[in-house]
Amino acid sequence: MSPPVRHTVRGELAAMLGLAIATVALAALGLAWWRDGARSYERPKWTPARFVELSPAADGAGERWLVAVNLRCPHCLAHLHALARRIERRARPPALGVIVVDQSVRPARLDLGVPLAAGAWWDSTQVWRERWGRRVYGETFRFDARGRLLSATPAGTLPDSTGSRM
Amino acid sequence: MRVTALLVAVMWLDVLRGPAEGGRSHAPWLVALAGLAGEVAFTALEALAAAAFWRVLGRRARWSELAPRLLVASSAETLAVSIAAGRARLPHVWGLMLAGPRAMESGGPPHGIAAAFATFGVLAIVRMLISAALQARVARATFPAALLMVATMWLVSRLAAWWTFDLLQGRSFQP
Repeated sequence: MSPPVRHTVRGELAAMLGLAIATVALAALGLAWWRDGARSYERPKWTPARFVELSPAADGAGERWLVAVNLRCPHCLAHLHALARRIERRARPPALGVIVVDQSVRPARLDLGVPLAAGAWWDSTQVWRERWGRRVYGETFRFDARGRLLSATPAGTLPDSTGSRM
Repeated sequence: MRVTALLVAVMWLDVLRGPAEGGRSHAPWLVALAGLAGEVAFTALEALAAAAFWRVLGRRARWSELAPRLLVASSAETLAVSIAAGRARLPHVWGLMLAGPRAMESGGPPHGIAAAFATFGVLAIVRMLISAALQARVARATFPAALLMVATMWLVSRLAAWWTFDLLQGRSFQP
């Protein structure tokens, strides 16, 4: 085989190998995405025993609004503060609380700068991600007094007025 | 072609400088330069993939010939980015049609498919058409064959973006 022909064959082999690697990587990504979507998850239900209490709940009679907060996520905290401001003027405000998620160690102290009538809870066993299948930080879970889920809304939305941006 | 590519690079720099100056950044030029570097790196990879595709199809298209042409094709995208950033004053419908759904979104896209296809508009199609025309000339291939290749690469990149967004959603750097 003459050198130019050998060079061309080598180039074609390299191109085919590169595309094959890219195709395998894409297929692996697609498989991971499909498997992730095919998993079935529990409907969220508020069961305090599944979480570690960081600050106690003061009120258990009415609705609880629990925000999934990652402590390194500024928009989660901004949403929590906005929510607190929106409900403070209500005659019967829901009890606001937080679930601290994706936090591998128990937070030493927790001061989020808002009153948390529904308490602060550390999701030490990844219930939020692994059992409920949630992943968007700042999502607000609205539970009734018996712990049943009424709604789950993204950050920036007022939970009992779906679609209403804050 | 290299001079035209250089001009397009300057266009990118200008388009990326606008949002950086409007934001809270203390060094908008640095942000714009980083954005340009990202665009050039993306174009270099796109040219590498295109060269490999053409070689597998039995055509010779050198990376060094493809890269500046793909940067020239990206000139349509500079206009789309400008529209999406609100620099070009257009009615919403026109913005949506030209730059895709990203021109309308106030917050981040809610899920992967929306994020992946947020850039799809008339200008994205124009970019693909220019890219196909330029690549067909370099690879001495027909325009439909080049268009099929460009569209396939675009679709594959969108699928990767969709799946990656969905898998990463909720991590600390994501909304």
